[in-house]
Amino acid sequence: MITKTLRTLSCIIWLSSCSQPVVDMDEISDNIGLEAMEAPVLAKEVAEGRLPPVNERLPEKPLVAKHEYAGFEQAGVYGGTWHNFHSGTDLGAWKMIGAYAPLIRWNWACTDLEPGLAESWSFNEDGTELTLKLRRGVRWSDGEPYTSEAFAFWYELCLDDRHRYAPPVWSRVDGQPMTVETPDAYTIVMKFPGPNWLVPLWLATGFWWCEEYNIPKHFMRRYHPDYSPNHNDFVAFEKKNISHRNADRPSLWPWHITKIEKGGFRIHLERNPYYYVVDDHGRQLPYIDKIVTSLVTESQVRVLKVLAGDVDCQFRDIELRDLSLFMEGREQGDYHIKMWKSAAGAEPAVNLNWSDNDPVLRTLIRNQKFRKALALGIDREKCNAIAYRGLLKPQAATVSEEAWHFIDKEGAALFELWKNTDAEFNIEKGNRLLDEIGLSGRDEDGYRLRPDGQRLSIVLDTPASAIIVQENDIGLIIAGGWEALGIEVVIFTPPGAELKLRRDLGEFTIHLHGEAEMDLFTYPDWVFPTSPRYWHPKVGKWYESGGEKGEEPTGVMKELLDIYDQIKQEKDLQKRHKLVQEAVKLHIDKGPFHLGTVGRKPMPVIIKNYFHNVPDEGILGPWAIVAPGISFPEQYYMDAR
Amino acid sequence: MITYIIRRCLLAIPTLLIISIIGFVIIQLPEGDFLDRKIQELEEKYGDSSSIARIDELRERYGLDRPMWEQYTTWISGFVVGNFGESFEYETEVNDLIWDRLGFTLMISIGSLIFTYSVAIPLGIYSASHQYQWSDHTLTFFSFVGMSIPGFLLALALMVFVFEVYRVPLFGLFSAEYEGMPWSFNKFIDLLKHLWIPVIVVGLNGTAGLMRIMRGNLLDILGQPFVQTARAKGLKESVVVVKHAVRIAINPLITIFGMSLPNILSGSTIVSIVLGLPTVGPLLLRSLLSEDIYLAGTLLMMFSLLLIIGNILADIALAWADPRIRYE
Repeated sequence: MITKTLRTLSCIIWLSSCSQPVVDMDEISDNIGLEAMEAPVLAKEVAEGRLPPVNERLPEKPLVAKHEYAGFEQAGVYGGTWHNFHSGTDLGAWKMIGAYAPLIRWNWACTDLEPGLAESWSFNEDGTELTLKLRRGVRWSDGEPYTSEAFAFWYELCLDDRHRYAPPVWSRVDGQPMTVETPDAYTIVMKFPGPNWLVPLWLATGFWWCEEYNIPKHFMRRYHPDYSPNHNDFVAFEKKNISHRNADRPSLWPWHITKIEKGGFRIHLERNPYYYVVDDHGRQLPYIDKIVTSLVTESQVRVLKVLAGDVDCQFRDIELRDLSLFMEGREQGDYHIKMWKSAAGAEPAVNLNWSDNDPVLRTLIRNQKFRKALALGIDREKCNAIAYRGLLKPQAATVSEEAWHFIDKEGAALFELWKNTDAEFNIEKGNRLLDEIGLSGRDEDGYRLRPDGQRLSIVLDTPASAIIVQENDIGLIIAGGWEALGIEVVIFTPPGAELKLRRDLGEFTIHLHGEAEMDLFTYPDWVFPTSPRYWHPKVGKWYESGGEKGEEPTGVMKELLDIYDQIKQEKDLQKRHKLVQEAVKLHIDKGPFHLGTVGRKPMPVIIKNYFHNVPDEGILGPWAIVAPGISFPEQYYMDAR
Repeated sequence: MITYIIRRCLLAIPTLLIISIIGFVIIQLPEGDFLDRKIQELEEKYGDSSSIARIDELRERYGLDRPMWEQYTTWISGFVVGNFGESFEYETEVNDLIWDRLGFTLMISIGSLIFTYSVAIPLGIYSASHQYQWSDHTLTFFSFVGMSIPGFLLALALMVFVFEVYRVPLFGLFSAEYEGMPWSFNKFIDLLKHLWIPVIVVGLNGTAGLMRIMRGNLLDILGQPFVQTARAKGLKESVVVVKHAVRIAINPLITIFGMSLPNILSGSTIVSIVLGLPTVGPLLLRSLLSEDIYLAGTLLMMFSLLLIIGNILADIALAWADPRIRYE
């Protein structure tokens, strides 16, 4: 009763400290089901001789799930079916929960790496050789052993010109790919042509990398043209290799797919009997038996499903604008809400194209005062009030405040400064700045004249309102502010793929894009112009293509890229953090290169009152850190009903 | 009669062919294709376009590197034998996606048609035969209300109303416990419990309009001399109206039948989106937005096919009901 009251409390005010000490085994053994070392459904199969006993299914040293977060209540009982929904056909929202099976894991706080499928890893002296030791006795969901063969098989595919995989960006040093050796079934050795200290981070990042490099060779070889006489190309192979489209493909997930209905509109998963993770007491995880996840593409239907109590626990695909409805429906729907956060520094960021096609605009955008004037013209309070009902925080465009580069005192102070530089709304000051840089001439409609005598007019790309309604609202507010600065703003909403093509090819002047990143070593491009995106499409293209395409960086762009090159060479983690901070100082001194609006979005998580162990707080923003996957969702449990 | 039907069926083939060409071209008109979006998505995930690798091979895999006419001919020649190609977004055969949904779409459409006609005709007759009485005025009032409320608005209003009063959300075609279960009698009953709402919502607009038409037609006919003759012969008023007048007054309604099918199909699309029904409408909308060409093309063809069949049926019914129609 007390725990229930506590839980209810915790959802009303975001009580972050309602975690209870882990209950001792002796105390809870009178609770039915807690003494079992494996799920009753599996114990039954073992008794019938259809499954080997649990100690044979677990690795020699199973991974023990951590739960250093507020909201963990106790070890759970086995059983139950977890209903939820997802909105994308790629099953992404579910994979963020139940498909994080990497060699090396991010820890819950995202401040360090910890062992996953690999027990340990080590570099040689100069960072050119990484050796991973795999956990012995891990098995695929069909019982076959998981060995270094999986990784080697994947890398073979990367080197095979007939398959679309290529050696990934992190495996290459100066364009030269790594070599992979597997001296035995439990050792992977990666050799690089030069120091490559960031590789463990890449192995831990996202569900998509571990999904790619963990291929069940014993199963997939049936479709591989070199192993199977029935296949001449990789067409069948690639189709069968899509994890969420093939219920037969063995997995390493806590729950493996058993049924895909109607082309993916409902997907059923069941507990993986060979799952390699256990709880503190050595009991095999996951606690929950089954998952049913439905594809619901209409956001209003998702709202109704929550209100009707049709979901047991829902991360993502919950809109903040429906929060009051969700709050109202708590009692009726028998759920509570925990407030997680997007950890975004800008929702969205206003990206100014550093290499605009129009030479006049290009010169203007490269003028710091012009950019500062544009930043002064954004009414962030208004953006917050209209697009987000005042639930966010106005600020300059930054990456995530929680990112591990800014944890030390100096870093935190620097981030604070970054967040507050160019975050002011002041039309008068903005007009003064524009007058100062020689844009004082006006035409008959009151718009400023460019140096070439034309009206100063800017095209602002926004997505169709059906896609991201907030960005549309914010686009209008920004346009209003800039009109007050004497700049004509044309809002352009291209259909279909055109918006994205314009972004990719750098054929825009200004576009909007949400900004959140927890680790700049692996995904550096919000701060460093390393890829053809955001505010640096052409310089990024130059860097990514090794100088073959795009536009050569000069000045501050070159400084930023030089810093990133240093990061890649740097062995010491603390020094790497310092380098990121140096780059941020450049953004503060010579920026802004992209402008802020509002950030820090609360992300409601819907949890049934009988559903336990969900963290009270967490980050549901950047996908690279795979939350809630990093919290070991296999230790969430449901009361026996 | 038979040759007429055969000729109509043969005519449908070139019509469909032209529709397929126009549809296919229009779907591909926006700049860029599905893969551009896909690649963008992958890039954001993988951090670097070189990691998602041989983009050309991806393009080849989806057949998007070939010229449009070649994509079209491959698709249409497969179409004839029931192979509709692959949906890019769902990464599965179009065949796996559409049949269930087409079934529900047909169910709702036919249900709405039946509802429309079985309500509109009797009420129209009643209204005409009680012209300018209070009951006629009441019916007229409601029919104008029904004609002017768009289906989606009514669906929304119903949803809010039902949720506020009963605290049950009104969406889908099955209760949670029957969703995904194999077909059974109980599941069928459960379907009927949910089906009436979309059927009425989709059909209401048409019902109100048809009622007005029925009323107007019948009033015209009732003023004609042969009706007076029938009355003069001493026939009962009900016989005069139903047997003599209605038979003629109903002809335009049969013609309208062919035309009301497109209204009902497009009406059901919007209502399906609002009510979250598993029909083809929402699928078509999404596939058009994401330029999922084969899925969108196939759905457009299915819609056209339904319309053409509906029109042929309407013509046959009209010929059967009105002996004055000639087939030449």
